[in-house]
Amino acid sequence: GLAALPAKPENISCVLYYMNNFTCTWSPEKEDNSTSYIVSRTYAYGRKRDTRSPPSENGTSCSFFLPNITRPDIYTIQVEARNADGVIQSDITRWNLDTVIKTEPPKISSVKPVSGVKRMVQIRWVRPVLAPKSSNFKYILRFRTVNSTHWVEVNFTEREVGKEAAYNLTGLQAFTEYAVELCCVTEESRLWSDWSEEKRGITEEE
Amino acid sequence: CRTVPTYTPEPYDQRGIIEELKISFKELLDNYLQDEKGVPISSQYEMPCFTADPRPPHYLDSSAILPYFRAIQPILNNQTLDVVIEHLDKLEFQRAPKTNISVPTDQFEKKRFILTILNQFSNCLNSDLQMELDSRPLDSG
Repeated sequence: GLAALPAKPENISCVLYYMNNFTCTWSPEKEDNSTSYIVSRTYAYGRKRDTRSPPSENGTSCSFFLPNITRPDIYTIQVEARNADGVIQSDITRWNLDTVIKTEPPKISSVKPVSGVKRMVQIRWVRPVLAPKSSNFKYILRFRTVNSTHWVEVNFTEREVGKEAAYNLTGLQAFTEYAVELCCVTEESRLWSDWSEEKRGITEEE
Repeated sequence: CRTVPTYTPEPYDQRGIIEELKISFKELLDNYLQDEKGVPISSQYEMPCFTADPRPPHYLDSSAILPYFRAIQPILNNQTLDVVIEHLDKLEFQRAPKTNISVPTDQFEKKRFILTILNQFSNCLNSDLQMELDSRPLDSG
């Protein structure tokens, strides 16, 4: 029959799950079982090179693991698709690891009023453990009254490197229960963490 | 497969590499000191430090240090050491000819050698290297 090369791998997208793995995905979704892929990586600013093949069952995703992942670094990734009729390579894509770091969400430890301060709660949380120690974090905090579905968001940057951080949420209603969630991103990355677990707290009586 | 260029990490990135290298190396040294209490350092072994390219922006070069860490890698067989070497690889500015460092065969002397190397590298990281980095521009380019 007519020779049919595999489709050229495109839309390569990579994420550094910090201190875990560096994972790339691409399209098109797995065409058929006769197409196999090899992912070529250069790292250590181009000084080193290795390849990996995705586990067969989810053909269009591939991960590289520690210890050969250290930031900061610049990677190139190229995906090769192969079937019985031939081979086709993706373009070479370039990745600055610091821009694709994704961390675990922060863990909110408490949402409490500060004694004597009306219409305010203080949120305390723990930074993601697996995160670059030298990085500052940007945060989005969202809150709503528990009987509303409308979230309000607040953005801020936190330079404190200690384990626990705090933020004072002001301008709230008195004696009202609020639900709070938090997500974060290292200052140079564009990949926000997932939202934290929700935590609730009540403002003081008027 | 087209060849991919080797990049030299910019000063801003070199600073980031050194920060992460310090964190991993401290863990390595603390664990080794814990495991090998009582082993003395020896003045018999001398390891060079980072060198800096004379031309601005004075790229750091780890090529004189790497052979020592590669020599102890198979002995320690330790992931933290692997991470330290990964960082040093990124600072290898010019590909030096392969230098083989001979490691003492006697068990006790081998430990003395390793501890001396780690101790000297600790001095490397802290002393003039910090001054060298502080004297450079901080822009991330």
